[in-house]
Amino acid sequence: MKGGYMGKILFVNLTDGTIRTEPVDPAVAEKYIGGKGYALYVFYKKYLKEYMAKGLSPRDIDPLGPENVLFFGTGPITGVAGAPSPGRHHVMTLRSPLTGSVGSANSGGEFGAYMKFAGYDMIFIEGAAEKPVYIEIVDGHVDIKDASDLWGKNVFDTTRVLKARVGGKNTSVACIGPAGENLVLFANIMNDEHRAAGRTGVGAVMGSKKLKAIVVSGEQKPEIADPEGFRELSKSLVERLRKNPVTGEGLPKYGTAILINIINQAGALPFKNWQSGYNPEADKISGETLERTYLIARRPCWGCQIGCGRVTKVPSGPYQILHTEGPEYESIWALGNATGVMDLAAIIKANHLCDELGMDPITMGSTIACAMELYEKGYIPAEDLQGLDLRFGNAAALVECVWRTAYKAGFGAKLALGSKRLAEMYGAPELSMSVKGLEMPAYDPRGAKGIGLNYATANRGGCHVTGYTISPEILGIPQKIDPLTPEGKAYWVKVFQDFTSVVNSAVNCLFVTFELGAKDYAALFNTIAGFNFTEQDVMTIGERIYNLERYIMSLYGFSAKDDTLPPRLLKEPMPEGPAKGQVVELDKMLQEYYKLRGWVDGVPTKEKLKELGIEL
Amino acid sequence: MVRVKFMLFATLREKYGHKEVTVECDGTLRDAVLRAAELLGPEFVSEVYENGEVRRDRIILVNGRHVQFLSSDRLEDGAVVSIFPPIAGG
Repeated sequence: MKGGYMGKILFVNLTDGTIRTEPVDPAVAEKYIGGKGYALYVFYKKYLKEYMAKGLSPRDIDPLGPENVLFFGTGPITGVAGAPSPGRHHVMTLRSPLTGSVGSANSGGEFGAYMKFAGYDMIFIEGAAEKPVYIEIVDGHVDIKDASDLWGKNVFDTTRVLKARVGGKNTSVACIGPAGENLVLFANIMNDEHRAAGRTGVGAVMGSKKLKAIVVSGEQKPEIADPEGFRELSKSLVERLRKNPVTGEGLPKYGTAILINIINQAGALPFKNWQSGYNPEADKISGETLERTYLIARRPCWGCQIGCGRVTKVPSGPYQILHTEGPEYESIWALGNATGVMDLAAIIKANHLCDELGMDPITMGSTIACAMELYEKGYIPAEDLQGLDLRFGNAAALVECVWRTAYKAGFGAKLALGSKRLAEMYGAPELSMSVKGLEMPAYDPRGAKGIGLNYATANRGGCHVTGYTISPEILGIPQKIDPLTPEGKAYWVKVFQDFTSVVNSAVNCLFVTFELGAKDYAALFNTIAGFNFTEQDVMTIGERIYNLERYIMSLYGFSAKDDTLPPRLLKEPMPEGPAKGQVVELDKMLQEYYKLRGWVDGVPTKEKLKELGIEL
Repeated sequence: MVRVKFMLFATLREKYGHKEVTVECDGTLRDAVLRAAELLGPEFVSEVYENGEVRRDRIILVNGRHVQFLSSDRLEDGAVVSIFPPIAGG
């Protein structure tokens, strides 16, 4: 490799304690970059093929069994000073305990950069330890260490203890909290205290391996293939990010929460478990209100030119918290708007507890919202709730539910399963607002049809960042398209899904794509790593990654039958607001999408895989 | 006369010191903006129009629909015009 990579992949087997390294394969990197793409290649070529060679079916892989594999990955852009927002890493699992599909989550902070400085581009963790352990990686040296004293500690305490123990300047900790230890199906892996690989329950997989934490520390730096070319490119890209009103002003000033008002005004902010898409009181929990009330500082990820992270404080009252980070748009929506809780202090507290205990606030809030509707409609009897008054809008019940879930205390044990299993348990599966078992985020597709097609077809389930068509549909980036028509949406969804696959393999921040496109990524890959990519090459790589992931999912039994939406979005017209009367015309968009993708029954054909250079 | 409410968001709130203003106008967006500018200051016109055309780099919603997808600039009584600078998140 000419630059961008540290050149080494670490394999740690927790069952037998073996540690080995392999070089990054330049031919694989050229086809799959790093991060998500490289992980999927290894998942298929090594683990799944080995599994199948034993005569076993991938459908029988237990997501919480030792046969699952946990991956931490960076790419050639990660940790490169001067590259656009390079402080991110990607986490994958062979299977997600929440969805049964591939597990996938992305996080910011310092961990990704410092993992490279410690000497490794990627880490694959196999097997499971008998007793709690953590992995220490310092300047290329790897140890598996006893974590008995850490087991039971929350995320913040674990992080502080390990950072102090290892010392060093560029030291970062990724760990699970009690939720991961207790196998809450939507547990996070937290890093740098408040940053989260926060979807699909990757923290539960880490907990099942009895792996409490990974500490990385080091002083190594990736080489740059074309230092002069990169310096010029960096100058121009950073200047563009600075001048762009979104990346240069909106996100730094207000953070992601700035979206609350606009998505609500467009009638697409799901309210009270998606019974409506408009909340007349949404401004009480908006980014503007957060900025005016509880915001005390901003905290960028490593090397980031945008700096959207929030530092907040609730100075007094029942939800007092003197220093925390967030909440993001998605957390405010899930813990607030979806549950009808309009108390921003309570939302901040609930979000803080999600970070401290290590859980995904999107699934947490959505599951509580689902429970609230189940309770209000009489599906959950009061005696199941141990005194919780689970009516929409009850801030105290919201906060109480969060810690009960992490410790599986009482009704919390049911919430810990996520909304799909909860709603099924109480005989109303239609009230879980999830796709493939993953709770959908903060955009009602009755008010933006393209995001509905994306939710239905996103490989990891109900996910917005897989194909963020909200960007053109509501925000007008890169151009404004009509949110209420299904026409032409298949094209946009495919483009966004493919391009995002590249970003998650690069690995850097999706927010830079509000300004930068595939051509810029080609230039970054070429100057940093010495590739010779065109803009089209970049998009083909994205399509290859997306198709390989879809093919792996088919081995788990996923097909077109799973590419759907909750019946509420398909059959119940939006009751009020700008999208009043709208439902999602999914079938029409899906047929167009499959045609564009070259998929039959929701799965890539052999011809499509061959065309993309995916060797089975 | 037609009553129209303007709602301002993000940096526009700080710039003009108002979350919302209500005006009476002749039922067109153009006249509504001119009336609002009487309350907010003449530069408010340039938040919506540039060279006589509705700005493409603002998010301007009438009753939640982007102006680009409205068939005319007529406003009904009680219309809500929401104006956002370029913003995004995730």
